[in-house]
Amino acid sequence: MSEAVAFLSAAELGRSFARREISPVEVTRHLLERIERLDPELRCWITVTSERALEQAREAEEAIARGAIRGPLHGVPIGIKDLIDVAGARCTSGSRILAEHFSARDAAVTERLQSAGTVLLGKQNLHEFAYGLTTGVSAFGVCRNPWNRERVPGGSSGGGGAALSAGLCALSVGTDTGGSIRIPASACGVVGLKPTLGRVSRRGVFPLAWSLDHVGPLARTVEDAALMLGAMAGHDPEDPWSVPRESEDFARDLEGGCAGIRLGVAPEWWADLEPAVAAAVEAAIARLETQGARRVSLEAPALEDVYTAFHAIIASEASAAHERWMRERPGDYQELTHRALAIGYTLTAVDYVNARREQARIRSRVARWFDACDVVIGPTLPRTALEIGAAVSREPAEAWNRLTVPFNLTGLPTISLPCGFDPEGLPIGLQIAGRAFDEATVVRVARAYERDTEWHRRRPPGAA
Amino acid sequence: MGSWLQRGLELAPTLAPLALHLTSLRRRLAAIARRLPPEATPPSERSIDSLG
Repeated sequence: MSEAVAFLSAAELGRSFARREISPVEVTRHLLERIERLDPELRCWITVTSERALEQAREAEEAIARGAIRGPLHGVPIGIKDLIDVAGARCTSGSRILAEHFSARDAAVTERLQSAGTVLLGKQNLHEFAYGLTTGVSAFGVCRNPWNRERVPGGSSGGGGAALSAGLCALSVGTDTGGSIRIPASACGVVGLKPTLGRVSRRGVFPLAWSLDHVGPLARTVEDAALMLGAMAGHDPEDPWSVPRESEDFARDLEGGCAGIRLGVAPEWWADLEPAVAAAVEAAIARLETQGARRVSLEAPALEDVYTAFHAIIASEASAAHERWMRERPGDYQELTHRALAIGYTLTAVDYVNARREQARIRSRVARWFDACDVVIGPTLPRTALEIGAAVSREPAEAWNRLTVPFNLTGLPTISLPCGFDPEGLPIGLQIAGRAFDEATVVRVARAYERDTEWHRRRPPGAA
Repeated sequence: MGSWLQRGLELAPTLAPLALHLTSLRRRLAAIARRLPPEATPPSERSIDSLG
């Protein structure tokens, strides 16, 4: 089988399966062979469920042959971040603490993707307990960026981003509390879509911070991300944060273009960007303007306040989620995770409540932006992939995730897609955010940019 | 209180490398607290839904 099959989009695979031009079993076998060959170095996967995958692929092939097609993702091979439950499979959260934990029941999102007919290749590596930006801190090995194996893939959903980039799966499920879907998407040159808070159920997903956690797709194209979100979204009465809205066809207006779209830009947030990042994002905005979009300037809340409120909330909630193990098994955390979790114990209840009050003010102020614009656009990350082992700052002016956290604090739907490469050949991400529950406009604008560029077609060296 | 103090002592070595950062975080949180008006509340349970 041609290596190019490993890089077909999920939509292309689904269409080819439906026309019976290629076989889900052959594609699954091909990807499993690539995982066996490439993953010992990349470490994208914690558990590969080969037998289950081949069985599901056979079932999909038979169903499709009978004409019982479940949808556009039937037979498509996926990976799931290893803090999301899959019944009967190990679920480690990237930690020694849960190294032998097996899930009793599927997470809501697992159930939905199985109903859509996807084929599960396995569980993907992550930054321990999703509390970090690199995936360089995991009990199951340092995950490497396929574009440069001395760089991190970003995190915390680093295994999912790296696996897509290296052609080891067609879709990945990630979680995003401070950028953990969009950061690996940007650093690995793929697409990550954080939906509106409450759009996708979090039942069966190990929490990091209840006020900020989102579940969403990673993919190689905007269309794939939209299709996958359609399969994942929907109300779940078992998740108290789930909003009572049914899923939608998020790709319904995918090719609608961006004529007349108002692109909101918050230049105060763009301080100290790497020059290549600033140039790529400016060029991306200019390209959308040539398609009829219009740029408008926004007055932004101080990034220092946004980041501070975010940090107080995530630190407090994460420490609460880990209270028992921080007492009983502190030595089983990776050192940097234990240090990050300790921060929560220095904060008071008053700090937490005030951070939540500030969150409400920021959310309200950012919601008003959408009187003047249709989407907010800018860089996903201020610089490209970090070196493995590099220190990660938590200071607002320096933090690698300072441009992604505003959209966790506000809960707004946000996508990252490739918009260029730096002089070292590392991918750069463009971030586009929209109104609450308006994922359809976010993906429409993202697609308008994607179809006018070739960045998403580039492949990492040694992966093709 | 004893338990809280004990936890602080236990975690002190872990937190030592973060001393500068924690000072900065406390300063920034204090600045937010000073500016918050009394009527500012945390987000309501369904506040995200009302934005859609």
